[in-house]
Amino acid sequence: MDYFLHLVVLASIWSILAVSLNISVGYTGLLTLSHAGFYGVGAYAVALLTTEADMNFYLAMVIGMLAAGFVALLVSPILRLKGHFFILATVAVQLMLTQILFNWISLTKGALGVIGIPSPTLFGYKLNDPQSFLFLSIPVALLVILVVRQLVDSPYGRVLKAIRANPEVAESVGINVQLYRLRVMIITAMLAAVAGGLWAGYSRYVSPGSFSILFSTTILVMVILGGSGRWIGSVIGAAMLIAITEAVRFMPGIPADIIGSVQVMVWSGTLFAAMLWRPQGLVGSFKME
Amino acid sequence: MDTLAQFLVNGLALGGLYALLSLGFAIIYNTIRVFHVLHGAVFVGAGYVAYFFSRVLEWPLIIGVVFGIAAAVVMGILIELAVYRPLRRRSAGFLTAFLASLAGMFFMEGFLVAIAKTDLKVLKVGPLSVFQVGGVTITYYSVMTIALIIVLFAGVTVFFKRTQWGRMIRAVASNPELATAVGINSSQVYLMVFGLGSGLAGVAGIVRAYDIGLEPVVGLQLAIIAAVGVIIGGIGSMPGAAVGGLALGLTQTLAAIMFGGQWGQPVAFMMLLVIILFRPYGLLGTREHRELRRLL
Repeated sequence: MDYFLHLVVLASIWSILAVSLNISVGYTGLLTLSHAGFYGVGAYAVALLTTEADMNFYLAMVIGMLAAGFVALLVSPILRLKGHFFILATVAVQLMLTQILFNWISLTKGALGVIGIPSPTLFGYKLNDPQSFLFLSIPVALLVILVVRQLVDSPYGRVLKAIRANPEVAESVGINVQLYRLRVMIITAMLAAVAGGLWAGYSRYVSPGSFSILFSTTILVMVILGGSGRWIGSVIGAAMLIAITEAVRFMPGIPADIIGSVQVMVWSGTLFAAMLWRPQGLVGSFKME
Repeated sequence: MDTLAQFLVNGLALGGLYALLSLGFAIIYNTIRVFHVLHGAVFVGAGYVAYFFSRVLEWPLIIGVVFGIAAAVVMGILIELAVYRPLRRRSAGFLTAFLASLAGMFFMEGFLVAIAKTDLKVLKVGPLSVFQVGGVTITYYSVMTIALIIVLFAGVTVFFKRTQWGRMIRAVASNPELATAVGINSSQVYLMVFGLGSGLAGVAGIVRAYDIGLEPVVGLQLAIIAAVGVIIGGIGSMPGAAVGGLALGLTQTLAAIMFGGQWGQPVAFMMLLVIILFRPYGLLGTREHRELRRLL
């Protein structure tokens, strides 16, 4: 039962990640591979501030959001790039963030990670198992989804879709495309940090390996398999990814030490097949370029 | 003075490896305009094949090297046939092709971990042999790497400028429709391009496997490095790709000396961001290439 509840917690956190990345990938047409990096910024902010500075979990989470937004602002000049080169620059950002987590040992404790993160409390209850943590992670996930839904269904969201469809035309009718893209990049990063804070409070341990380009790609797969450009697609995508990777655990004949790599093969194979036969994903509204 | 000379030798050896990889990437990118992340899979694949023959089966090194390069060429051709050609037939856009290629790269990584674990696979046995010039320690390995990039770069340049096949590839690169109209079989040209570019990646993979060694995660990292080298040097320019690779190797070595080995790669990526901001068409890129970039 705990295992099942654990998967539900995971699904709520991953939904936040996928739904927020979808604003950028699906609605605005900015394909980024640095989402896990910003998720890591949020997770490390909570991990370090609650253990080293005894800060309140929720306050630390807000600071993590601001930090992730600030990092996004710092790297925002990459928005000048187009196509492949923009994607490549986001990869560079992701790799730099990973390397900083690994190598800035005096701040992040390096490869060992941060242990002993205190469980957050909610109305005086300590959320220290999957069952109780659901009372935090599900409302937060619903809140994020609600905010994203309001955002993308508003006139603001229609501007984003116009930018996705044709940036030049959007520019010509007086939309400041770069400013919109910059805002999207910052909002996306801040929402990733929310998920990161939840993860740090839930797992009570963070290490740099969880925030690598591998996980950035995994989040992108959730968005694309579910269907980019529809928020519900990302929720479905997150659930789908958990289902197909967890199914590997129950397949007979796979030695325990290679389960991780077989999981990678399963989702990468699924993405590959999707690119050939269904590039718009399960419920996607548009085909990618 | 000795430190400077030592830095140059080490930097050029690492840069030579990157230049080989970038050159292969550029040949494919300039002709086919596909962001070939699977280049990294070819790179590690060749190294693993060489390792399998010369270290697992313990056949002579040269056989492992030949089989490794042959495997790289075959992998390149198979990738074109099994990945990019079907995508092209569905007129998939560049993002779809990129994601398919990225998915393939992760599949390869997972596969290598599953069959060969994550430990470092090194081709050489024992320490590298060295010689001294003044106070500088030089390995035969770095001399070989630097010589390899010079010879292969010259070879590729002559191939593109002087041979019939080279001219056909350049024709397809500059105008595919017109090239087809004058009777060039572009499918064959694409196979040739993938074979050639992947062969260079294979050489680079074996060079890397020989000294530093290979592990599955290196594939994606070095595919990214290859692309970064191409951008730093200037998209559309083959000398640019080689220079970009060399510049990356030198920067990384310099950063490792100044801040410690672990900061080499982050600083190299920082260099990418700086170049993109101040010289977006690369070190050797021309105005014409800048126009090209705008289309991408």
